[in-house]
Amino acid sequence: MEFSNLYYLFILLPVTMLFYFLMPDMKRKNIALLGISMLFYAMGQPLYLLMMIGVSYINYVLGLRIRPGKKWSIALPVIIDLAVLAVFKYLDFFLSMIGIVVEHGVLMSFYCWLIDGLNAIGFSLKYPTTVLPIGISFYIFSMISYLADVYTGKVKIEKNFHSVLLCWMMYPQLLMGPIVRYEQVQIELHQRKMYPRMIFEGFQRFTIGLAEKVLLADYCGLIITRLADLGSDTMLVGAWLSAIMFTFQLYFDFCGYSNMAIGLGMVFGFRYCENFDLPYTSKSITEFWRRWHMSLGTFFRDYVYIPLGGNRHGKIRQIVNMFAVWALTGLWHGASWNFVLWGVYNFVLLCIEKQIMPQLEELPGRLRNLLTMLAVLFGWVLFSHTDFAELGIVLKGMLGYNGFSAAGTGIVLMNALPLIVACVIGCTSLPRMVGQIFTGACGMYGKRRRSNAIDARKIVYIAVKVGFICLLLWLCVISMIGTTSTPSIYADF
Amino acid sequence: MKRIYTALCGAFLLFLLLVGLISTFDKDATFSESERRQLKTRPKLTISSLLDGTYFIDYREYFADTFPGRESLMEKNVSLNNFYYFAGLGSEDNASLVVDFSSNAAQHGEALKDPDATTPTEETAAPEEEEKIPQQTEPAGVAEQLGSVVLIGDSAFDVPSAKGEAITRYAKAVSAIADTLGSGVRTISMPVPNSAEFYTKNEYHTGSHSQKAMVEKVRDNLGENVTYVDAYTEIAKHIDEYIYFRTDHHWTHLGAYYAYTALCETLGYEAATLDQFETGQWDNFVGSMYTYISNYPQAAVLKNNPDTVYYWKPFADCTTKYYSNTGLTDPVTMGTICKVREEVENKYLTFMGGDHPVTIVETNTNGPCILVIKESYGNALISWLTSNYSKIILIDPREYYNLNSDIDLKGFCEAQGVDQCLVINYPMMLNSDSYIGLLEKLTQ
Repeated sequence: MEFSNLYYLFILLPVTMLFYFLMPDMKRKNIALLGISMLFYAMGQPLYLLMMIGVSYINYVLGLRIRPGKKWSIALPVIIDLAVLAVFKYLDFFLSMIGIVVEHGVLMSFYCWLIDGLNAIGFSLKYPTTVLPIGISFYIFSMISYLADVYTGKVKIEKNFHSVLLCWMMYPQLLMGPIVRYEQVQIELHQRKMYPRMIFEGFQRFTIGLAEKVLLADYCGLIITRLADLGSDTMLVGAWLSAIMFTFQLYFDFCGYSNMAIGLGMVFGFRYCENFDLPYTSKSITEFWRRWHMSLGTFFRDYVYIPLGGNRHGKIRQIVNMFAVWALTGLWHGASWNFVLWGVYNFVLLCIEKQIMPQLEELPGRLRNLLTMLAVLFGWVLFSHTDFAELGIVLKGMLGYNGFSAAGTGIVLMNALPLIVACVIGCTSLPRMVGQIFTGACGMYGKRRRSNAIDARKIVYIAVKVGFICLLLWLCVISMIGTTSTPSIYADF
Repeated sequence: MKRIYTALCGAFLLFLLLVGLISTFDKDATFSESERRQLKTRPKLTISSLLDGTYFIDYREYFADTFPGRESLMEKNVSLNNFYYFAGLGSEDNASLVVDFSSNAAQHGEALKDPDATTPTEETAAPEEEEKIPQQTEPAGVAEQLGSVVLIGDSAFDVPSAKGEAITRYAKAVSAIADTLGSGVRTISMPVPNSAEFYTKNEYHTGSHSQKAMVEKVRDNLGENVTYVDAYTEIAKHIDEYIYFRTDHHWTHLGAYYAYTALCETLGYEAATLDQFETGQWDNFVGSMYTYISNYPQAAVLKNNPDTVYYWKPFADCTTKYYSNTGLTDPVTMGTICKVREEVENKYLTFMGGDHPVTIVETNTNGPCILVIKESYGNALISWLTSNYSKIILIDPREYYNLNSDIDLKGFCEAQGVDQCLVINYPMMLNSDSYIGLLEKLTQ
């Protein structure tokens, strides 16, 4: 279940919050939150809920037996986790590597067969549109990080099943992350402070995320569709415009969801790690990957790159380790060769960048940002086309081999101009700076912000914030009323 | 401060909850005037829908469709689209817009939905049975991308795009109909262009958008047992006349007349002349293209410049009945030219009252019997055919297969004494996988 729809906003969100806040103590609040999360999951894929609880229980039980430093004790649960991921996400991909191609996929065929059987005895089930369990890539990684942290002694073994289950199942981050590590929420799971300002700021964060998704990302997606309908996305102008709009869409879609998740976490008293830090302002690919999907980057750094030896065993070993990380990063995004290609592309970029970094640093900052964004944009083109034949046509189009422009591209461009300007501004640090200047002008930094004393500037500060939230919510509702909910791109990963 | 934040959080929560409760318990709207469509109804909770997850998907759509004050919010949505669909800084005449053309206007039929909205205008078409309410049909199949709607000035066009091998497949499906019906029935194919071919800039009707190329591809891929009618050339001779609506995706009655003359010429019949018919008109027609883009600010130019429906009433005595079942029982009597009430905005329903699974027109003309396999473009053609045919049977595959029933086409034609079978479609259908699938189904 996505957050960017009216049903969630006006029914599920207030009802679950009310239910949660009415619980008198932390233990009951946790049980309530767990129940809500299960319900939330079941609303999308009820049968997979059982599987997720099962996998969680296996991780919990085997986690109890982990002995720090004893490799055998962590091997089994990690293998089980990866096997679950392999079966549900990569089975057809792996089979295709050995020449076995099952029409519609093995699991899909199995489900269709099962559904046909059930329908024959009186059910009237519809075929699923996807067999990928919601959030599997995110929660499996959360589980692995827990096991690894127990193994390295970073966290203590959790004795209560419902506590680890809550960490993995908490619905704000279940669908699309951030990848929450147990160590980050361990304390908050048992004793978290909930105060009104944090809840209010959580609301604000959620609304900003919703606006990014609904007011920017979804409309960028519509432009890509319009260009494709015109047959313009394979010609010079259309291909570039389409790539630029996808670059914006992916960012506002995923960053927007992360902001909603972080905001909801705050509403329920949790502070999740940040997932994005203005990645499109980066002046190098290295910097970009420090700012984009940070929870995934740090996961691979801490649980793959460093355990493999990082940069501690010479240059060749470091390059091999980097290659492994980037091939896996690519593969994590989907069971398709284009994702692997995209991962390797980033690996090559980073290797080249490391070699020429001194020369790059001599260039003006804006030029470096532009070059970085060109490289990133090209990467997103690889990322967005799972069909290599289609990818080839688009790349040729970007180089001008398929003609300059198709009918109607000019109109699409003109129709989209204000949106493009809004997206460019949204990607820069300008909105953040405006917020900081305003906060500073109201004197809302440091102790004064936390104090309970009321003065005129504080009232103005809050009034403007409330007005801002109401305006964004209003615009989101108006926008959502005219469209059906658009699934987030990262929900497929 | 703590109290202020507490109050604000409480107020937010209360507001969201209140709107949610009102939306849940208020009376649901069933029709959207601004979008001219039926709204979703509350889904039924079943074990199956819970298990396969469709219940909450349907409920979410129902909730959005019946949200309190939705119509008023839709108006605000149009204002918001001033930002997302920037019309430039010029005058209204310069309004330009491109949106995708996925299904709505092309994929499913429309029919008059109010029995009072239509009265037969032909004197001989007296109701034999009480009129029944034709059912509004649901879209057939999954929406597919067929092309683009382009608004230029005060005219909207649906620009089709040639889609892979769809047209070849279409031609084969028509040939298969000829094979099935055998030599006793003459099968005729008449693909017709739409307005984008003649009234848009070069770029919208060349290359993959060339409708001339599309109809010629149909011609080149038809079997030898199919007669091809070149309506394109005949229509192209009359582009300075009012042969297409500006606010609707259909041709006018006059446009259909020129296709009829092309048909007559190919078959060796004498076409009736326009002065043989009594004429009439319905003013203020704002058609499907407006409906389709009404959510965009540029659409206002269409609303402010409506079309006029001019019609020519058949001089032959006709009895027209449509059937909403495969057994051809419970007929509903209509006119080939229907009177549409002023508030009915889709005035193209003038012709045959819209799309029905099966319609049969019997005339006092001494001529053969023709089966017309069509979508809505065919409707405006039928009244012309009454001048040359004794019996005209219409099948709209989209509506027919909505009845969840198969058809034995050969047996049907034998039973009805069909001499000719005309397949008439416009370019969106020539490229529509779902429509072509339905044509193929006719012979399977």
